[in-house]
Amino acid sequence: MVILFSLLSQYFLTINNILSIVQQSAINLVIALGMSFVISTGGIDLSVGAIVALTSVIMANLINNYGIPILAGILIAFLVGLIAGAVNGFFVGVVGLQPFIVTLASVTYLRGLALVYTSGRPIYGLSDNFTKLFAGYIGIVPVMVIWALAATVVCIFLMRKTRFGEYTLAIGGNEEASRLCGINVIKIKIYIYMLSGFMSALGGMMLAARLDAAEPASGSSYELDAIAAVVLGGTSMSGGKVNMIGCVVGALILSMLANGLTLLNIQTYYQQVATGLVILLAVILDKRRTQ
Amino acid sequence: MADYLEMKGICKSFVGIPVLKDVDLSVRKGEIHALVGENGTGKSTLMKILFGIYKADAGEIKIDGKTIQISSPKQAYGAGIRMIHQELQLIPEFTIAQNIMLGNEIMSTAISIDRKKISSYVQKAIEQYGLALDADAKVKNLTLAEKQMVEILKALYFKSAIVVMDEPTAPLTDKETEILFSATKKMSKAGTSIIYISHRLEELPDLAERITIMRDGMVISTNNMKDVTKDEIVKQMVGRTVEQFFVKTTKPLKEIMLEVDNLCVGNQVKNVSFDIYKGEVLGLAGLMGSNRSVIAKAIYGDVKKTEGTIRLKGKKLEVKNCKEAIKNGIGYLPEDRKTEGLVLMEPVYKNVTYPRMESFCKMGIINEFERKKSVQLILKRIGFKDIYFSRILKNLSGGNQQKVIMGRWYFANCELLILNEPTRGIDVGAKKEIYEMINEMVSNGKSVLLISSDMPELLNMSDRIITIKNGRISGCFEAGKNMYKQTSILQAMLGGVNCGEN
Ligand SMILES: Nc1ncnc2c1ncn2[C@@H]1O[C@H](COP(=O)(O)OP(=O)(O)OP(=O)(O)O)[C@@H](O)[C@H]1O
Ligand SMILES: [Mg+2]
Repeated sequence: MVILFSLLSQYFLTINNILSIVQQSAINLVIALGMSFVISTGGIDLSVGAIVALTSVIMANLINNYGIPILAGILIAFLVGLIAGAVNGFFVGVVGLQPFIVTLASVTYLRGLALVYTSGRPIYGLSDNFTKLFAGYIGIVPVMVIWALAATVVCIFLMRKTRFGEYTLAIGGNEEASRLCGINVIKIKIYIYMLSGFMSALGGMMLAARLDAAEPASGSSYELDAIAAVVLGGTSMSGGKVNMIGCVVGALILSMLANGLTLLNIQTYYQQVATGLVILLAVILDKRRTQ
Repeated sequence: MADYLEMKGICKSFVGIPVLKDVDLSVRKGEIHALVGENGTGKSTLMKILFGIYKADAGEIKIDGKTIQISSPKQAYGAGIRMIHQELQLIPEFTIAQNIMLGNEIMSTAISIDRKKISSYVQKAIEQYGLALDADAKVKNLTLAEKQMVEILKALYFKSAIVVMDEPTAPLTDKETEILFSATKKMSKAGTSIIYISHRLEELPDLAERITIMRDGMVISTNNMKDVTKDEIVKQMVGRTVEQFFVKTTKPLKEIMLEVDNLCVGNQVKNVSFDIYKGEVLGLAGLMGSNRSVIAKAIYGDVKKTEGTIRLKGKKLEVKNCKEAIKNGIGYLPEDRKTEGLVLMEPVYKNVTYPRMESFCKMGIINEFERKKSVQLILKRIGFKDIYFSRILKNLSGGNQQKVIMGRWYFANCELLILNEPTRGIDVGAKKEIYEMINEMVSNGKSVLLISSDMPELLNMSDRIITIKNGRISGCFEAGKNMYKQTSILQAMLGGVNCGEN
């Protein structure tokens, strides 16, 4: 695909364009990393997009309209992300409801809260320091790329090296066996959804900084992009098996595809069709490879 | 000697049905204590209460004289209790080492796991027990017997006060069983108390010091092992005597049912050829890792053969998948009921009918009345009470699950039925039932390919036995000939080719 696009468009392989591809993938990648943990346990988190919206409007409102210090506003936003995740985790882990249904409900009420909180109006014009922190540049490197990189390193470490990661995969592989080994399955599940909420909050900050605005309707269908990146990366939807590097590659492929097709002047509607086909193709190839 | 573990007056009901009625069990320090009883008597349930999986409705548990509350497996570990579960509890995508250490990871720093150490420690333990396993191998790639050894190691690896073994030998061949027994005896000498559940009654005298017998959720007796005979045990278990365990009623016919010629599957099965006659039971023997199951799966179309021809009643058979095999009249009862056989969330009667849905479907619509009616007959045949009819499989005892899957294939009425460890975890009474089913099938001119690690069963039920070693035939034996005995068959399983004399 890279070769194809670079043959068709001379801009595709310029440094600027590559950086912009990585930048475009950054938000999705950050969310997809959190999603990887959820999917590894056999769960799913549909509420990530709604958390993006809610955290960004809360942050923007607190900073712009209440004069709260920027860092405090950001901290509160992350806290909101963690709480929203903990609520998901509570219903999945403690009450024992299905993740799909729990987070489907969360999508609606979290986005509802975001709309209520702002009376449906976007908040424009954020402080310069804030936008610099999440969407500025250091030299020619966009800060977003650095955030995404940091998130990737931390998440890969969590998954591969820590007990938390080990238990995540164990639960996905055989929940009953994990419980019988003395693992606190409920606690781990709550942590996992909190992690996903936290990553969504980070995504929310990055999105608000990039747009220089916080919109209660933003982040819609982000859950699908994140799931697509995870699946493209070769992670199994039934849990127990994860590919974190694959997730990074998946997110990059998705934005590369969008970027390349735009450079070729192809309409966005066709881009959607193409993206869907690429996902199917990639999953088929992956299945072939692993059989 | 004082009792180390005391369970007193334990009662437990599931959805109003009493399963344990005022059960007492006491185990001494360093004792190997056998626990036996028919399928569904509540042995596993009693142990799950000890392990904190279920909560007893009444009764108390004392360890070393002190009353304790165990309400989760985690607390059971804390009290020094380990359990080998009747159903395998492993994480398929994890390595052997990861599985064994799960919940007890060795850390290199405060937050990161030390994978190297974990793997080298486990490898050492594996070698200590004389097993040929790789600590870094993924569990999903192991055979059932190997998985069972991992499950056993998981419990033995850590020093504990009490170890519960719920039918640990069911899927094992003699060699691994021996490894387990010597390890168990060593542990008991070191002071660990062991509760040992098994339906293989013949292995108990050599192993256990005392035996507790249960029936219908109650304890019938506790005795010194050397004071009771096998017949007495059986009588107390089932409430009547079971005689004439194996009766072979018919001789095979002269016509050939299945011809396997030069069958190869990758490097797992090499140049295997044999015939099965109509009305014959052909036994297939082999050690762990001999790939005898692969041969069965190749015939059933579950794995692709790379070479060779298979003929059913003279007609060349090219089955691409299991569905086609069933259509051609071939059935396969898999080794691991939990992952290969049963739909655990569905009721008994549905599980029985899956391979033969078309017999009461018209244009895809199921005739539930017909379905239930025909299932009722089968369930009676396998000795099931009506209350089991719509019970979800998950809530059945292990042995009763095995009966359901046997009932399924009896119901399917196949020409050739491949049985892979059909009596695994089944009580004496029900075993006899299954042997009668096999006899009935062959007397109707059907054929059975019987894979079993239970030597007496294999010897008595088969008309001929072939042994497999490393995917090749290493011997064949015919009933009635003087080489047809356990020692020579074991020898063929371990080594030399032994086909000439018959
Ligand atoms: N979770 C459950 N819900 C309802 N009934 C159950 C449940 N677990 C077990 N039972 C029932 O309790 C009874 C005892 O089951 P248990 O598994 O203890 O038998 P067992 O003695 O271990 O038999 P086996 O030798 O076949 O393993 C069975 O009748 C079973 O159907
Ligand atoms: Mg049991």
